Amino acid sequence: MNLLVEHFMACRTPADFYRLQILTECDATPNDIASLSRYRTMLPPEVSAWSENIRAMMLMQAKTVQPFRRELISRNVALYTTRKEPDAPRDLLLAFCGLADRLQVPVPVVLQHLDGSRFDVLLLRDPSKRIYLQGVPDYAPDLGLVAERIRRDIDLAGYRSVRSIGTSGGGWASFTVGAMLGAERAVSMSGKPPGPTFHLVRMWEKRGYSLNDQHADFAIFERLYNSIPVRSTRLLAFFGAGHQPDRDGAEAFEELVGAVGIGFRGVDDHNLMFQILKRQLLATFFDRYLTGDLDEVVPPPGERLLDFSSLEPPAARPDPGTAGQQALNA
Amino acid sequence: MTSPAFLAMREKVLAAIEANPAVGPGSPAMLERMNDPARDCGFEELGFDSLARMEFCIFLETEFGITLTSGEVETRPSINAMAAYLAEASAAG
Repeated sequence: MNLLVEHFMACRTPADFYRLQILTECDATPNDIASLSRYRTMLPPEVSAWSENIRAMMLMQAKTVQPFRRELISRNVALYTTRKEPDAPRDLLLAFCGLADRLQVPVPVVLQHLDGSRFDVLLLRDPSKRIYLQGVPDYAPDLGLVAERIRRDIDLAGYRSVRSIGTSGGGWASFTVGAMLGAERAVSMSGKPPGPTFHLVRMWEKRGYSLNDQHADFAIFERLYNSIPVRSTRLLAFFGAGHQPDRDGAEAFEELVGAVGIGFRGVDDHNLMFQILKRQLLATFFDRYLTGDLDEVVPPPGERLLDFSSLEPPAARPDPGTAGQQALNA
Repeated sequence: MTSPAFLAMREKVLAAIEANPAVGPGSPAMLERMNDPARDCGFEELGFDSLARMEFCIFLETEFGITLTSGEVETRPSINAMAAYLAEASAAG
């Protein structure tokens, strides 16, 4: 029987189940979720309902499960790959999790929406909740050393290109480490430079952390980023247009390091990845902004608030006449 | 809503929110409201989602031996509603 299923069957209390569910959402591959689905009749109804929900999210835009496997590099760093030898050249995607140790949505859901034949994914997290201000625990103590360690652990020259994405607290790490490793592009989803929020400061205080004052403003990011000798990485800062803190964060990225801020209309919460996912556009979003030709897809200055319809293929877009009529009826 | 049992459970609910990495008050004003039993604060405005609900349940069970499901949190969507529910459940044995 599948090991994950065995672990679930050994759970006794709701807390046991929830711990394992959270771990699964943060670590699992799409195949792990598919396995849970195969054994669903052996699982408690709540666990089965949860795994089927994850599976449904995974399969919103694709029907075949992507065969990613997970190779643990360090406690908080894992490589997900579908590589078979010999294989065509691949791209490496660095992925920096947010405070909840995921990419705003469960990791297997994100993997399933990426092109597994093209990308290996190096997933990094900071479970200390210090939003990478002290690097990645048990891996490297600051972002510069994280970049150096990745160079040692991963054969970057063996990849066609490096790209980077980070959600929320991982956004600035995506920009910084992406640029340090010469990524072709780096994406931030609902990220901001590492100025502490009210919530974060309270959490750090309660945990007894002593982050000194140099960490307490945007300057650390600006200095670190601008100290990178060659800065050729294109930086894209996505945000929900109706969520003012994330809008401010994207604007700060624009001002500090010349990122291109791109907002999606109709999103007024922080979880932009989920908003894209629930519209069944996550694979399309990745195809466009992680894979596509940025010169074609990045809107010109002054037009950087997009509707989700801009992600839909032309054939799927509503006829302008019909759309206009719907707007009149609304 | 000021019985000792309610207030005791409210303290436990607050502790579970404080320990939850995914949620929290976004401003001093929200923190003040959170800490005032005469007022209330919705879980949604604190940023609760399915993950936060699971974390909340884990904390209550681990720290206080209170067994709760994510569904029960979803249907008692504020600090006071949850504290009242837990106080009632505790009284019922």
